[in-house]
Amino acid sequence: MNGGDIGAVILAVLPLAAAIGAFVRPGAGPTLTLGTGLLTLGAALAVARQALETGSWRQELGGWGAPLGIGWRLDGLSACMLLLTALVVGAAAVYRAAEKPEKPPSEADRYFWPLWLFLWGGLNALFLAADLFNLYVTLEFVSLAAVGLIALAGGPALAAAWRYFLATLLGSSIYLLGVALLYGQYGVLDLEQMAGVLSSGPTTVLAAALATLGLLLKGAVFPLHFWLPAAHGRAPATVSAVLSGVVVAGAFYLMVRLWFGPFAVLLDGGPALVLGGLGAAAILWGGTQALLQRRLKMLIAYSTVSQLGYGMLVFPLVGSGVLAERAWRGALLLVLAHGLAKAALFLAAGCIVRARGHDRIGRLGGPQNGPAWAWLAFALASASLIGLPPTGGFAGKWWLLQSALAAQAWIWVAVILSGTVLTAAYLFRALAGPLTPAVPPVAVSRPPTALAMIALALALGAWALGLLSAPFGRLLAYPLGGA
Amino acid sequence: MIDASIGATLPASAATALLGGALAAPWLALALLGVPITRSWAMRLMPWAALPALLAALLVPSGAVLSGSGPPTEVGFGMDPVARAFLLPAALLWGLAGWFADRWIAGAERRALFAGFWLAAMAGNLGLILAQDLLAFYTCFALMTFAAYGLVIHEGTDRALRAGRLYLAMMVVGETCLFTAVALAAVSAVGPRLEFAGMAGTPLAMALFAAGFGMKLGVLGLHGWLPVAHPVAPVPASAVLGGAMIKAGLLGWWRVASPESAELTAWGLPLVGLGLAAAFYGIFMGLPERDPKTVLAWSSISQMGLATLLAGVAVLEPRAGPVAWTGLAVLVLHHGLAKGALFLGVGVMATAGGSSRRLAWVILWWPALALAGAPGTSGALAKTALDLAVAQTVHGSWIGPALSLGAVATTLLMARFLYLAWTIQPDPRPEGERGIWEAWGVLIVLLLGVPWFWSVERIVAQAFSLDAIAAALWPPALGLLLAGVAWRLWPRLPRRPGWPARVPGTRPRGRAFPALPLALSRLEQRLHRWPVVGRTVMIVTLLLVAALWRANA
Amino acid sequence: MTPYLVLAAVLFVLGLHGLFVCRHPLRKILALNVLTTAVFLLLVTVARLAEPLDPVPHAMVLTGIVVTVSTTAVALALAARLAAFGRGTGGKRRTDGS
Repeated sequence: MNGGDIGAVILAVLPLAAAIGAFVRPGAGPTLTLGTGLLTLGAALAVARQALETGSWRQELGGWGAPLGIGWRLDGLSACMLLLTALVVGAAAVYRAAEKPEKPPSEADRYFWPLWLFLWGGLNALFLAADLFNLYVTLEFVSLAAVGLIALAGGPALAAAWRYFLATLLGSSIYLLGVALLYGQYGVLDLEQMAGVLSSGPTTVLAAALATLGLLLKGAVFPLHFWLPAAHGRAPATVSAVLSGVVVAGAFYLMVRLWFGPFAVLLDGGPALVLGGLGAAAILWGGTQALLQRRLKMLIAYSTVSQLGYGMLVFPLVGSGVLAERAWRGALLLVLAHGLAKAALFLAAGCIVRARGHDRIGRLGGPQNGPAWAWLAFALASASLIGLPPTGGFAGKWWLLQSALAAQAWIWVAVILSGTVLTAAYLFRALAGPLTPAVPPVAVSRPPTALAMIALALALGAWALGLLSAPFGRLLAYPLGGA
Repeated sequence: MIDASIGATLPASAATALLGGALAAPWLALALLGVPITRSWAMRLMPWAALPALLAALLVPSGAVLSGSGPPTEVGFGMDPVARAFLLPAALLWGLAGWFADRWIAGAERRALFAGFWLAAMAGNLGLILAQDLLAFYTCFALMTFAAYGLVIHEGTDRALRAGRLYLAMMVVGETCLFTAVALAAVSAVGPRLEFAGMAGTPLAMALFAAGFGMKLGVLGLHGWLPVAHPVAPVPASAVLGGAMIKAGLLGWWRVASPESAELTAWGLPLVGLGLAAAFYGIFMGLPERDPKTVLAWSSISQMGLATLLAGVAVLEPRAGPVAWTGLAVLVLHHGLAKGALFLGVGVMATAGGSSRRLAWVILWWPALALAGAPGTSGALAKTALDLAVAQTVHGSWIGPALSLGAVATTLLMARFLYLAWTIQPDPRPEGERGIWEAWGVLIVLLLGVPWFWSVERIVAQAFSLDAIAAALWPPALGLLLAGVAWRLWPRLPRRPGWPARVPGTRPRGRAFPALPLALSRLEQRLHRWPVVGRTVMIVTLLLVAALWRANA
Repeated sequence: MTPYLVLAAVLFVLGLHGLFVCRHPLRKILALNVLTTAVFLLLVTVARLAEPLDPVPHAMVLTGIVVTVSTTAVALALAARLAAFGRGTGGKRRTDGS
């Protein structure tokens, strides 16, 4: 057992154990979560260190191999996702713990921490899992916890949670159908073994299409994003931060795993183009819709639809083979930077909503003594989303654009650039909110400064990702070499 | 310039430290601004944050560098003759305007916010001047551009917000062009660092650079934001915008165009034409304006037209390069100081009362005449340098007279400006007047002296020759005469301009396509309905299957 | 074994249709259950087709059933709350979330 192995075990087991603890002793929820957060962060760092040293490795739990045992596969990509999860979920948990509730605790609040920890454990397991069926189970795990967290808000969030529930369950079922077909054809579930035997054929084609479709639904890729804006816009700020920052990226992660793993032989030509095309449409449509929103949180939610489209460009750009390495690193770094920045945006928006009692952009003017720090966090996170140097968003977009330019793929270049302009447009529109003349009555309460500081820390994390883009680029370089 | 004699005795470590200090000082002040305890103290640092940069410009020898393996490529900062030529006026202006701003913004709300944007923009401006590679330059450029937005909209009025929106829209497009160009450079980069020169052979990259830098410089056609954004910003912010920040576009173009190579010859004549057109267009558009700061903004467009012309001359004929460079350096110094003095002068006129107001108006004549190129002013120096550069090309015979005509027109515009400055309704504020006067006074004194000491002797000697004085005398004289005649004939014209210039970004609220956003929102709502979702799911499935099938079965 | 495969396909499409077209939450939940059942049918068929008999799909179906039971429970709880909320707002909000 090396440090990475121990880290992986902690990552999968600890949140689940803590969840049970938090369920049995509701009062201990925050303490348990914060303790878990610290340990999880350490474990994720250990995994990342191991990944930098050894590249990728496998871990068979209890010595039981495939097909009946559960195996884990760890590499730079999963290490990065685990780190992102630890940072975003951990920071959001601190935010929640530091937040003094506005109304007296209700029966529903009891379930918050257990659900939160289940979500955390599910995400960690998702990034560790190495076979198609375990991935299905972890996906369901994450979905159920996420739906529960949205529904806890009650009121109008219930309808949003219901839509999300149906969409994500439909996605899982379609994905499972694809997995069943694949198993029927090849008799293996493990991603690596599957990569060895997969060949093209009618069943494989259908299975690949179905598995991808399920993940497109879960990842809210245009035009299947119908559930995301309401779910992310109506959930409490902490939940939105985690859902937008990490959960959606989980579906994208799995798509990348599949298409640069077992399905790599199928990627050339059409499929890459279709996936990239959907991503491009997402960038443009999501950006346009974000521009049209009147409410801050809805704007941020639509921005998620738009920004994840950049990730989808990885398929055609890596597929084109020109500077593929840079396209790969760029797209994944963009997803990581988006996770941090988006979580910062939602948490900052949460502070602003607390201070003003609403989030209608046109009515956020007036004295900003309360949420001034939140606006700073918002601005810094926006810089990363727009892709201003030296943020993580810049480094990612920079590599992605280079690949597109070198391949002379002018359509992708145009999409990347117009997406940038759209992003700048809607984010500056949001940032102009506090500058507009005040519309009376202006009710300002002062949320704890610590809340805004958490958002600020996440935004600075997105900047740090840009400054650390060299080591992260190295960390992200491994899987492609293996595939 | 007098580059070679600088810093011979300075130890290398001191030079590096000074360079680092010049870059770090605004950041340090910014950091102090963030801490509540030191905030009120840090706001007073606005003038001082530029001091290390000034010392660096005066003391650090060329060749001193600071580099690091910054992400995602290596970045470096350092001193060279080009950087020095831009650093001296920028540091002077940022320092003095900061002094001015320290008094000007006194008592105003959101003072800390202004100081924050100010320091960030300063950090960007000084950083991009010292940047020795494309990535460092681009990073600082973006920082300056977006921090300046905060300065433009500082007043928070509806007009300022709309101007800010136009500024942002144009700057985002400009930044996107630059981003693409820099990425293109990175695609073909060989070393660990993105060198400035090396893209001259790629027309696409050069076109993108030209668009991005032209947007900042206010080249004709890309100048829309300038006359809108300058007048709405607070006076000291206008001074640094017009005096220092727009020069970043010029510096960027100068860096990437590498005039030594002959690859851009085809760009020469269009640039010269564009520059000349801008020189006259700016004056034509500026004359009917009623706000003195708007007149100054149009004059900046006109003056930057001259800079564009020089950039054109430099690439037109490689042998004209060095002379054109000297001319550009003089122009940057002269225009930076003169334009800064004019903008700050507007602020002085707006606050001074009684006899000090009359005195201020008389002093204001000096930078105005300097801009017009009257003999004995720094403008004459710039004009001499310009003429020398133009004479190197085969087109000198017609460009030279055109430039003299431009000087006549500039005199007219400056006369108009002086008239408007006189008509400003003063709003005396006794508490802040002193600092304002001092900063302005120092700037005027510097404008009197610095350009002469800083320029190469050949040009100074040339500017003092009888021929040159005679040549420089008649355009301002003629311009003043014309202005006097105009004032006599149509004394009422200046109050009510004959043709109201429609300024972009100031039209009343209203959308060009009111139906479009609504239609898009409706379409999005439709996509959310379950039966429609069913259909989209089917369509996406079919798309995926079809694509997979075609490629693999 | 072809009839089972065809049946699985028919059930899956039926489930999809129900999910998209039915308005009542309970019907949607049932449609989702039909959908997953179709997948389980396919898996069991796959197990029967293998030579020798394959236990792994059975393990998957068992796990799948556990998952489905949990999801159905969550769905029912959610639907009940949604209905209660809809009553609370005077039935103005449409409970199907569309």
